[in-house]
Amino acid sequence: MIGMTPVLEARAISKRYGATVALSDVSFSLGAGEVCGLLGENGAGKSTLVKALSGVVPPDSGAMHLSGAPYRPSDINDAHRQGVATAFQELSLIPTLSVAINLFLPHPIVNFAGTVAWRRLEQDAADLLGKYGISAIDPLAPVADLPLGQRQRIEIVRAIARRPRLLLLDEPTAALADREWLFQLIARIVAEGTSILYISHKLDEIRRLCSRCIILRNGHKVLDRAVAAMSDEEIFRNMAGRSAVDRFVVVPSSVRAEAPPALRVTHLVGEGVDDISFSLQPGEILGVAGLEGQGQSRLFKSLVGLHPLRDGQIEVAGTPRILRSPRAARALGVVLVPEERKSEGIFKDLTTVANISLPAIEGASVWGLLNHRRERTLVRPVAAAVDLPEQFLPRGITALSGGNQQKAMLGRALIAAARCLLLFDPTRGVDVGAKQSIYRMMRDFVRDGGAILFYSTELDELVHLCDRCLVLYRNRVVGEVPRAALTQEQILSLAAGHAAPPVPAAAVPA
Amino acid sequence: MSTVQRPGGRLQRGRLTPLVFLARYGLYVALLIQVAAFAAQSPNFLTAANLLNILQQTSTIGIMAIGQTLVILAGGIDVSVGSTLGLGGMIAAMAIRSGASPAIALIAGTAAGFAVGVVNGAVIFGLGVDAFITTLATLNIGRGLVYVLSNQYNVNVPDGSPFFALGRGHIGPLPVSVVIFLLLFALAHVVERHTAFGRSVHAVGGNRAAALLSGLRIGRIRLAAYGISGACAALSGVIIVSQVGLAVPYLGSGYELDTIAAAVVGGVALTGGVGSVLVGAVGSIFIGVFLNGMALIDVPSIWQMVAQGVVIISAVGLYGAARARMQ
Repeated sequence: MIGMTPVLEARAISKRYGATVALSDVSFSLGAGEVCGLLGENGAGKSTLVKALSGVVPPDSGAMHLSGAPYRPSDINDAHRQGVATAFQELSLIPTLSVAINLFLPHPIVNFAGTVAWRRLEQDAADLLGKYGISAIDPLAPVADLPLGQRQRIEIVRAIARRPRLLLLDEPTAALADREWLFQLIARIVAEGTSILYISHKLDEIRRLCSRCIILRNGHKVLDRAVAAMSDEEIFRNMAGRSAVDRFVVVPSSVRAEAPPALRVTHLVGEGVDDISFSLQPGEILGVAGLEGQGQSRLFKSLVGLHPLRDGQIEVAGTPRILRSPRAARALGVVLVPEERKSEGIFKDLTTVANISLPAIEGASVWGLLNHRRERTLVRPVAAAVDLPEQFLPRGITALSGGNQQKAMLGRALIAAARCLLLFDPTRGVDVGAKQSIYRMMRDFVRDGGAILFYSTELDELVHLCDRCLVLYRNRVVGEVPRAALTQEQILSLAAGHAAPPVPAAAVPA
Repeated sequence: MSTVQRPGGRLQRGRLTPLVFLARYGLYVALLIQVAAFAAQSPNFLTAANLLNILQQTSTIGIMAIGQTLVILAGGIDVSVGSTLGLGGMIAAMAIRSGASPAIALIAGTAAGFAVGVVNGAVIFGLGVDAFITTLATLNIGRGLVYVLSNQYNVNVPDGSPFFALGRGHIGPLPVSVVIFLLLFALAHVVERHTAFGRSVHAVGGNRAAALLSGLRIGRIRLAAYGISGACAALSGVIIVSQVGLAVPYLGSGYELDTIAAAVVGGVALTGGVGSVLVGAVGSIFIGVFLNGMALIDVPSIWQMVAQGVVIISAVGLYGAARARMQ
């Protein structure tokens, strides 16, 4: 390909969301008929890059060229017109419409009167499905009626049917049981000259399909090399990075092994939760690791009754309990701090103090009337526990930085006498200073006998804060790594569905 | 006091751009401009008698707007209030006809409205039916019940009944209905600003998922808001019947939209959680002044309707722009 104009050339692409840098000066190019892998941990910037390339969000700076011509898509349709099509991870199909209509969105086949030509549409859809080897799917079926795997195939076929010069596949096998179908399809369109950017967590797929791979970490491109020239370890190490270790202070474990477990679940089964058991001691931080969408979100929400469980048992402090609602869980000291600060966390129209005090607000009333001084008295100690400066308390919460908002969320969790915190990625989108505060608060909490179930997309946090770490893959626990053996490579390898690599003998506790 | 005052604290700090100023104080500025303009146009406008008249005309919509505002703040909407008003008025009139005391008639009418509100809340949160659809259905059911109860006839209050004290009596210079409106407003304001319930209403309407995770009893809080709204509407109906001495079966038709208009003109956001009882009440006074002034300067009523629509769109557009700027 040397000497030829690349199909795609991206130069110094940057994108930030508020204070978070999602992409920083990312440059790369893609030749005709090349399949290039894009790897990175959750939050490394892969999705943002896909969005920039597919026209969903414009980059803040940088330039893109398609076959030498400037490429600046105004929206996703404009990207289609210029020959860039995308199969998104969180499928872009409309569930209530039929497969046929979805395949031809946004421009269904019309007849001379401008109305949809149903018969032709149906025929063309059936032809497309047949051409790409999924003729078993009924073109008239509403997408909502299809299993997730088939929906993913339709998403992929629709992107391919647009005959793009550049095809973006974002985790295309996340829901596919039969990957061979996709691999053959890819071979076919690559032979026709289409270039593919292939985003995946799965190393075996990258090795099989891609000649080259790009690794992103914290929004930066850290590696761009031929796949064959690298070992698995090298790839994992580049994805995980090694820079942040010194941010963590080593403290002795505070696990109280003799006490009854703060939270114990046995054989939990529900939608997206497949036979999960674990036990969490007072004083323990139990980590949960997993790639995006391996059931971690369902697990956390099930524990406070937000998703129904079909089977299994939950014990809180040694007593079997049924946690039907977050309210019931809170009454037992089990509190979830959710991942989506904006949509599930903050009350943007309330002040910071009101945001924190809400669960305990009954305790701030005298004769039925809220006593604002009493409310402040309740809030002050928890604000101090999370390092939230007092001058922020009377302000509207939206005036605070993401980090301080997150501290307020943790403060709200603490205020109702929590004994067991379920923290779902508490440091996402949070500045370094706030991270330190959150780590300190977590340590103080377990030192005083609390227990924490801690999911994080940042592996270094898991490695340095947890007493143990569970690894989830396809809704199951596939590994439990003790503190002594806890490394990022170990977690990543388990999380990608590989068997655990042998633990070095020296690291195994006696 | 304004649309951007956040429960639980003082005014939010921030730069006072013209747009923010308008969103915060525009309602009051517009009210003053309106009063000045009408006063300049008509010598009869700025008289004590007319101002009391405006307050009296506004009081019934204002009472309903208090309940409606609470429902909207809690993230719901109540379009059933028009027929709930009719039902409350009709029940009170029939109670008086059958010899009940004015107090019993007042309580019976108001309680009927409370019951309608509780049914609204129970259907919405028990069965999970959309709030708009549910209250649209009870709007029809309520009106149907009024026709069934009255056999489609008007029910008049006998001359000389002590019941008239409610609608026609005065306490000092103030009509009783105005006193009730102001007392209810003060009570609702305190409840909304200074109780756990009021705080919870804002929380549930502002972010349902977060409220659930915070352990709030969402169903109960919204049910209470609907109950209050129903009771307020029915009380308005009782007052109107006592003013005019007659319960007509179509009493209150279309009032539901006036209460929603009052709330949004005040700056209560239909998305929930934003606004206050205060601005809802001021919004109803704003509309009351507007309609009274238009009538005094002889604007034909058909054009009044057009003008009212323009006012609503301007106000809501302004609030929307200012909020987008402040986020």
